[in-house]
Amino acid sequence: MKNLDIEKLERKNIYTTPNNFFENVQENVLQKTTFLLDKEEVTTKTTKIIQLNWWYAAAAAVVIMFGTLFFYNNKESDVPNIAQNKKQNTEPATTKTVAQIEPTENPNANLISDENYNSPKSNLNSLEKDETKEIKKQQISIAKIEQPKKVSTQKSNTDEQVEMILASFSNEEIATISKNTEQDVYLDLYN
Amino acid sequence: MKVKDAEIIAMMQQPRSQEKGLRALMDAYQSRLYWHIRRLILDHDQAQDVLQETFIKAYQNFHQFKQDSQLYTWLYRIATNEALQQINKAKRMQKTDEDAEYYLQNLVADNVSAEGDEIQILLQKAIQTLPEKQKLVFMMRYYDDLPYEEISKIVDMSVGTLKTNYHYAKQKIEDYIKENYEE
Repeated sequence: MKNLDIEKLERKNIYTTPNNFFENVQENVLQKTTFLLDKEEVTTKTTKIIQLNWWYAAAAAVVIMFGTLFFYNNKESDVPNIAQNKKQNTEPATTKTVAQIEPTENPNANLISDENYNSPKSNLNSLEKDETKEIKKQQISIAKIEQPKKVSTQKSNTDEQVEMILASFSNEEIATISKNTEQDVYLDLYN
Repeated sequence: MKVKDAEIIAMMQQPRSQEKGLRALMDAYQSRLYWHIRRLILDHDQAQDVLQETFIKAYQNFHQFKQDSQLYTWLYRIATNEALQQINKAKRMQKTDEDAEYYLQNLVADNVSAEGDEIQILLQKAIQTLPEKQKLVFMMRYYDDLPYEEISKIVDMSVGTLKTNYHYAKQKIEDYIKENYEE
């Protein structure tokens, strides 16, 4: 054993292994790795990752901005129309009072003057009746002319009527009305 | 062998053929890896566990194989790391380093076949007396005939250091056999 050189020795495996050892190793490894494969497949199937690109969000933000601006602009455009309507309503009424009605050429004027010249009181009454009839006719014609503007002046008519009615009331009556209106408001709230 | 490695790599990189690639990988390297692990760990059951774990880790981390070394070099590295972890676990169970050495030599005796001759048994026992890295270097060079360049990638040592380690390891083993061989 003095000149022992292990390089010259045979490379032997002196350890033992069971039969079909390597086949069992392969099956065990494949079982564990296919289990991992199945798990990965299950996770990929069940979990869907929806990636939201940043430009989707940016596009949505732009759309929302434009939508709100458009909506806001439309709202603003409506406001001046409403303001104009209010202005129209506050303009002085175009209706004419009896005094403002200009005397028109009466086709029956000669008849009145000629026929009723020599009559007594009945003739005067008939004259008054004719005059009121004419005034009413003129008022009706004015109302007809002003009919197309009904929508815009309706409010003004009602406001004028209210004003006329209020003008006819005394201060005491107005005070009582105001008290009642307050009560009505409360009633309206609770109804 | 190189062509076969290329085929295995190609199969392992495709999800549909991964199982087939894994079978081919095991067919090509399971024997070499097993005996490399077995000579380190000595116990069959533990060596089997380490071998299986080696292939599972190779499968799981195949995407990290950069092909800057041979495929078997990469596998040897995984197997060596797994085996050393197992050995360290066993060593922690022993109280002292002498106990660990005695434990390993007993393992050699327990696992050797009845037909094994005395010199071979003493060789194995002598290997177990070597320091960890020396043992590795010696076994990879002596039994697997790996080039020093490939061994350096496995154990992260320079070729010069590897050659020195192998020379010292060989001398220790021969001295051990001479002392313990009964003529």
